[in-house]
Amino acid sequence: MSLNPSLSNTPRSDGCTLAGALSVASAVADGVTIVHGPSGCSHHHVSLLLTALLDRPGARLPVLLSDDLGETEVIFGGEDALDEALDEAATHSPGSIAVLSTCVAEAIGDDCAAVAERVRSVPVVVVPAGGFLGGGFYEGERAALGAYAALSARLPAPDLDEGPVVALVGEKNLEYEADSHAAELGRLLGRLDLEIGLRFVRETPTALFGLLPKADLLVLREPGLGTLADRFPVRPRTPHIRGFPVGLTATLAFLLNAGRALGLDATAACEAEAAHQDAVLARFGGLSGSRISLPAASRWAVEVADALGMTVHPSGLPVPVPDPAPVGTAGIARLLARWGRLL
Amino acid sequence: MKQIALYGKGGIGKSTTSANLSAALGEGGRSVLQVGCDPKHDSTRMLMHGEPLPTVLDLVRERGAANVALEDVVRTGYAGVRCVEAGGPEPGIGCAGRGIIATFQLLEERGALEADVIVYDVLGDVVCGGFAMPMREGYAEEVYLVSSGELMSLYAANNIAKAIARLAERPRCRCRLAGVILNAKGMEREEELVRAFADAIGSRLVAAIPRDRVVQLAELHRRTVIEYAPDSAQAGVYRRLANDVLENTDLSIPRPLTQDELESLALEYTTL
Repeated sequence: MSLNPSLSNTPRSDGCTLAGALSVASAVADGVTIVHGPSGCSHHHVSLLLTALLDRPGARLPVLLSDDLGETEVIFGGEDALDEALDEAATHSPGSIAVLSTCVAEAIGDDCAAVAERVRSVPVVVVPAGGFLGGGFYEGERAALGAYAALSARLPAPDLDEGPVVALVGEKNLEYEADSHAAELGRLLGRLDLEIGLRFVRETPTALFGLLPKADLLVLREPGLGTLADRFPVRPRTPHIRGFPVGLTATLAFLLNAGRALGLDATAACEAEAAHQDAVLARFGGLSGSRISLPAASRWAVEVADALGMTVHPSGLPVPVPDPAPVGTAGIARLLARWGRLL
Repeated sequence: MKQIALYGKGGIGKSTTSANLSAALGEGGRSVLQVGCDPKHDSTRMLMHGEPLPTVLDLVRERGAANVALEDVVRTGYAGVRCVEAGGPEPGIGCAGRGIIATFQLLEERGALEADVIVYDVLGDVVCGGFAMPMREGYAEEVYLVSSGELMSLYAANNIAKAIARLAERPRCRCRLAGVILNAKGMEREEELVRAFADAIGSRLVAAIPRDRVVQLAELHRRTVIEYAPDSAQAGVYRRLANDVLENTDLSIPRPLTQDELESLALEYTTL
């Protein structure tokens, strides 16, 4: 925990399990999310979510319901309230419904899964999201991804054109640059004549989840998702790339790894991307010779500085290195533009 | 006003003891309120001649707390004893402990907690903060542990003693242990054992209620022993208990035993 109360020390990815689960469930394009708990609990997290969405003009506002548990439900159990909320959610004709439990629902032992299993016309996923169980935002995010992965095994695979299915897994939906990162990965994969077949889960209609078991390559947002992805209902030995590429070399390695995973020759793609990187660096040639300082852990940023002929030294001008780090060559271009404004 | 609570292991006879105690107190001219704090809501059944009471929590669920009046939940039974049942959720769902808290809040808001003696009959062990609430919030100022000589019963009583000792450390908590009541199972050296237990935890045995068939007969007739067999020896025991409770000023903060101490004590009074 940081004792510095500044906003920059308050990342959106910290906090309650419920917030993490909500960041995933609310990104199902045709989904309805029920927060099974007191309305205030829902309000707090939904406010956080909507604040993040306000950063993105035109963003879809997700359908979120609370079953408004009060003292009576705490005493007698909240399962009936959840049952009613599920009926209400179904009237929105969603592709799927997510039930996110809260601390109080977990504490009184409501069996959300049993309520969800009652025959309904819409698939229901249940995500245990009681923050008091010790988890935080990431545990909620992973629990939700796991729940939708389990759902994917029950859905028919949609008909698609021939070609390998590449799935992005675990995009950080509260990240301002989430779509920029996906666009960059789409551009890189395009060099191998590949497309992103599934964004799991970001603005994805439920029916597309049926693609997950058919995926030929999983590209994980971060290495920490590997353990979760290992349990996905995908075909045995489905390759994973563990982390979006950050840095010049890592971006080229991404192309090589993707090609190798799918049995494609990535040589030409790498050469073309290397030339593109050279062109990007040339655009920022004016930064050459600048003296900067960087956080110790950002080796990829040192690589960029070296490539531009900049001097990295503790006495140099401190320049920002965003966290999370920028993805691909496009991310580096955005970073250099930012440095350029400072230098 | 005396506010007493009877705690003990499930099935040990808290409700029978509470109802007979209330009946004896009422018969003696005291105004008495008995509050059953158990979801199975049968604490006051004998006082009400088997008439089931609408429970506080059932009415709260049906109407909302704002629409529950005192006369809806308080009924007068034998010897003028006013009876209330908290009720609670079905087994396996919800939080009965929170139900106890909600019941007490409602009764207090409606001004129901007024009498010469209020008897709280509380479910089994102190299973969570909700069931400790009568002690914690100052409703139950004098706690009586109801126990037999069985080890599990003493174990539960010792656990409640732990809760009292813990709560007594809080400045605003007035809860104290008032004594141990033996509700005998007819075991060998049972009274000696329970008396020794009471002494060991820094309290005393206030009553030894023998096992007597008249208790079962009275229950079958939906009466307290005080009403069904007023001249019986058992009724006399309950009346003496009522007198002792009224006169009891010997309140203590218990010193609960360790598991080993408790087992050693039980072994000492067991014939192998």
